Amino acid sequence: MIVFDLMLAAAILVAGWSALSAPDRTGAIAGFLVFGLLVALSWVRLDAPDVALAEAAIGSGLTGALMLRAAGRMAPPAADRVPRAQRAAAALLACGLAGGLAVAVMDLPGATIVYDPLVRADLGQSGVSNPVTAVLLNFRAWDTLLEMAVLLAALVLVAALGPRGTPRPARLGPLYTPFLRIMAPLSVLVAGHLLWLGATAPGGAFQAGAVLCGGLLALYFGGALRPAAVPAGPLWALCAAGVAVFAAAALAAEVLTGTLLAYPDGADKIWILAIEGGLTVSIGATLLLLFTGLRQGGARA
Amino acid sequence: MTDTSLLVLLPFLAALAATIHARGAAGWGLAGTVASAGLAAHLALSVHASGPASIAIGGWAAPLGITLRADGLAALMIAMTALVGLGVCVQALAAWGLRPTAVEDPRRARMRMGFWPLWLSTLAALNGLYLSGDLFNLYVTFEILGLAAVGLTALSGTRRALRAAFDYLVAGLAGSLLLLLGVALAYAAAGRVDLGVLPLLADSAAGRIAIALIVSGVGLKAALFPLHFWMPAAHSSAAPAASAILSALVVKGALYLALRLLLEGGLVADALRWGLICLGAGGMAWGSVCALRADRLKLLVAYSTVAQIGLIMLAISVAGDPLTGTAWQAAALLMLSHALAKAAMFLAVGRIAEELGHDRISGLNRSDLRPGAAEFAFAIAAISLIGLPPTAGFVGKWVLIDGLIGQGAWPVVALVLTGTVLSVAYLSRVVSRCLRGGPHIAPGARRPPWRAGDVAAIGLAFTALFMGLLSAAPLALLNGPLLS
Repeated sequence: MIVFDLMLAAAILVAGWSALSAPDRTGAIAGFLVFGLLVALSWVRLDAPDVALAEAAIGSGLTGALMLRAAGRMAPPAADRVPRAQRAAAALLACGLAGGLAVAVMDLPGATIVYDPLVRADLGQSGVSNPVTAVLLNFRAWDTLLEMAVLLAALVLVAALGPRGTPRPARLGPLYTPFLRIMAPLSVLVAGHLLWLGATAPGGAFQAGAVLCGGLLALYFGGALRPAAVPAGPLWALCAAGVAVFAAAALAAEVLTGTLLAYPDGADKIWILAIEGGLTVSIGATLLLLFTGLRQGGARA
Repeated sequence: MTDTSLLVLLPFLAALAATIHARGAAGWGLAGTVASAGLAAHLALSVHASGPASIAIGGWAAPLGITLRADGLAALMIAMTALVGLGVCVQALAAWGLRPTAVEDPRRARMRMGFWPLWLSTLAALNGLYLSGDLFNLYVTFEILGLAAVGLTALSGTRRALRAAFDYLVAGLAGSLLLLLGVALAYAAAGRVDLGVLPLLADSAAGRIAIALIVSGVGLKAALFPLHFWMPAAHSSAAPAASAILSALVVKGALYLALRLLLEGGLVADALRWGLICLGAGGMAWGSVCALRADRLKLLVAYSTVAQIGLIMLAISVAGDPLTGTAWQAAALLMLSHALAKAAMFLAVGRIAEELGHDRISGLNRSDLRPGAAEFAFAIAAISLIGLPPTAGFVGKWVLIDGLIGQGAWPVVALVLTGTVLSVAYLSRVVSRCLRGGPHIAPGARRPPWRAGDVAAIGLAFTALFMGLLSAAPLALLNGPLLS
């Protein structure tokens, strides 16, 4: 396997270089997509399937789609070159950072990770058996709650700054509708499965939300879904529902048990599933609207 | 339910409500800000009365779980945020109204619907940041803060504001990446990410590099010289209320993290402290020179922030051992006084520009317009920034210089005094023009009318003025035991 790992590392470097050196935006984004998939593969090699799923679905897939869409609306890149001194300074900084990191990695003391035994000791009380879900939704649920706020803040930003009006996708061929009839229900099914699976195996709200977003995007491209036709208020409510449920649950738990985000005894799994259900819907809707854009506030979407 | 959880979640839920129910955004914003200010006051009183408190979220103790910790420093910072927030709210309500009117300027509606969710998110992120006891959680709060701040920068929608916001976004992301890299390296070096990891990091080279990465991320986000390149444009091209938030509050989040690193035993490496002292002094010099050369009022105020950040970073890095000395309290007091004075200044500048129709410093003398309340507020805020008694700035500089003399660090005392003289020089460029009167004012010159923006600016300026007289209160909070 060491040969495979070395090849993987080399391929990641090549993909990164090709993304940086491509003369046009589409080429650069293609390089980025390949780069993301290879990084996802390396996460698999590092025994982190949850991170690999998230990297492939969101880090590479959805981000790549957002970039392609943005590149499509931008003017061709300006030809002006970055001054030589600026390039040299950037290279120097990057070398310094890389050197510092290399020294740090060389110097790392033996693994004294304190979390593994702690997670293992408390996993039984977390309500789920997948340690990643236990960390994300129970031990460190506060981080996840705030991360959802980050996602929503990004959507607010897109709504405030994004171009007015959403573009209508070009019509696709006659075979697209039968394809949609299979894909759309399938994506809901897979999302539900991933959500349920998250309690015991890699999966969970982020992956489920990304799959749901894929189904919604397919509907959008088929013309069956037009966010522009829906008033902005309900769309916002859909995107905010997950994090609103999460915040309300955090406070409700405090009322019930006296501690913020401490789920009542024995009911952890129900609380986690309810929160994750809300998160899945909101993540799917938010990712879709990040792609299609929406108008802030006013009803004229 | 405790203050600490509500201080973060209440503004955040209000932000959600203001986003969904955009017509009532200002009402939600006002309610969220006032409620949060009440909670902040209650927290400060209870920390003062019964000492610091911490809660383990979910009942999971650190390092597995995340703790929210409210000590005197956190309570003071939260109270500072609440005070500035109330002032800014008055200005925002005055500028963009509470409710939609029948015939409405679309720009006004857009500003109102855009501003309130972004401000409430900023408020929630700042409160979460000040309370957090976990490095990774701090990184997450910086992410919310950074995105909301970019939105606030771009709110006015002008081409200049959009360009500045984009530069800010890129700089903020680079800062976040450095911070995240540092946290990841700290995890690899010491196996945990709660704040208790900081003293352990000094033992290994990897740990020290992790601290250096975190500090450079903080420097980028706090606009510490020479990483301030993004900041003057961003702060000077935003709307007045947004500029006040960005300059008075958002950069304080990063400075607070630097101070926290010091208090938790993270800034022990001499090389790092000397580096920060040099950068702080450089910031004071460069910011002052640029403020002296600035041709626009807002740019002058923004460059003065570069100089003041340099001073605060200097105060943090010379503070010595926080367990024995009290010099670190100077940094907290300077942050407080700068927040109040700079918010007042940006609101005043917004009003001056509104009356004059421009913000060129050379055009401040006008024979047909008398100086008004905004000029008065600017002058009072300038007095606090310079550090004349009885302002909050005076108390901060007094504690700082007192601590420095105690350490025998005379060269640093000279630096601080030089910075003060420079700040007198650049602020008097504006104040001297406001002191006009006499022959060149035409007999029929009009006086600018009172607006709510003037009230907000004067209120904040006078708070800065009287905070010096009431400085026993913040000092009592800071003198209490710290959680570490």
